[in-house]
Amino acid sequence: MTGEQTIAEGERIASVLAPGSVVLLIGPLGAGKTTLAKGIARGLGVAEELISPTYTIISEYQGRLPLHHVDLYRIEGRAEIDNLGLDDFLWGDGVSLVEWGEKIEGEILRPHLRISMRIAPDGGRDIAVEHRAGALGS
Amino acid sequence: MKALAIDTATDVLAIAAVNGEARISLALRRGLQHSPALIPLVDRLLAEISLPVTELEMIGCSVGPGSFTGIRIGLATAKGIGFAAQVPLVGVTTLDALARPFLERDGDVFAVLDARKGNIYTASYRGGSRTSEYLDLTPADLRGRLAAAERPLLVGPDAEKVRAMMYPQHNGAPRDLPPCSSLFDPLALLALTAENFARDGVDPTGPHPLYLRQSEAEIESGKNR
Repeated sequence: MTGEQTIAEGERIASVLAPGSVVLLIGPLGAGKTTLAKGIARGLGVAEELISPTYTIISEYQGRLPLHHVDLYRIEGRAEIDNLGLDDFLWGDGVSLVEWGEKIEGEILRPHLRISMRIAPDGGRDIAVEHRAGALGS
Repeated sequence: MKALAIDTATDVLAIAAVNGEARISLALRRGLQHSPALIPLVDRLLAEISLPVTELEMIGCSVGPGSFTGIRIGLATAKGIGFAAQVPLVGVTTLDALARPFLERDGDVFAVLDARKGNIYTASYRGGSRTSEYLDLTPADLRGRLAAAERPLLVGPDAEKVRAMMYPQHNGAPRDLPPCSSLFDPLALLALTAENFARDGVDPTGPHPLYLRQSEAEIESGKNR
């Protein structure tokens, strides 16, 4: 999948998102997580250009739904995760998009999308989207 | 009395101030986005009753339970104003403030808040006194307490949501369920601020957040011990 196709895929994923949706983006550096996030933001009608929150950790955007874009790359250990106060929006009415989402996967209790990305041997990107129930279900 | 009280622990931004006979309060409900509005609104309310922060005798601030980030926004703001203007700070529990307007109600009052992760923060009150600890309960556990209670009333901005968490299958008339009130009266914060100040004085290191729930980090470090 090319960059443009990844964006288009993100827009397609955005079409199924609803208030409270949680999307975990999982994959190595360069796998296209932020590119997919840009597509999702575009699909949600966010007018602003989405910027990787690697250094800001959490960015908020307003589209069809509020979008919280989180990047846990620089976050290490439980105490740092706890201090982000993620529950406020993981349990809120917006969409939460979490890069390096595997770091909090065990505590996503609601149904969520788990999107795994990798760099394919041909240099393109492979994307796998799974629906996970979460421990509490719904 | 010259006092200010704020609560940012829930999705209601609550501010109240008193300057002698003059009182003013505001409850703004528009989701968890209190940070940019808090200081301008405090300024505006204090100006309306001609009360400079340097004249405040005390500042009350909610310590929670509630939103992790919300509690920090409130405490950091209150501590900033208190430090700059040399005003003592007093902690107020959000659940106490929610129950306060129902002091004289005949029956059990349950202040409730959505605690996220499928749970509920609650405390029960009767005749103006708290009759339980501050609790972090599952919907089933709270349902059990309600069944044993006398004429229970659920109060708080999340009351209806909490009721739906407890009775998800209920399709009948709400009259079969405990009644709800979503009232958040910021003046209750002022009353509690004065009471807590008179009773406990000022903790020089406080007030401290009341998170109720152990963080995942605390749970993990407990396991490794």
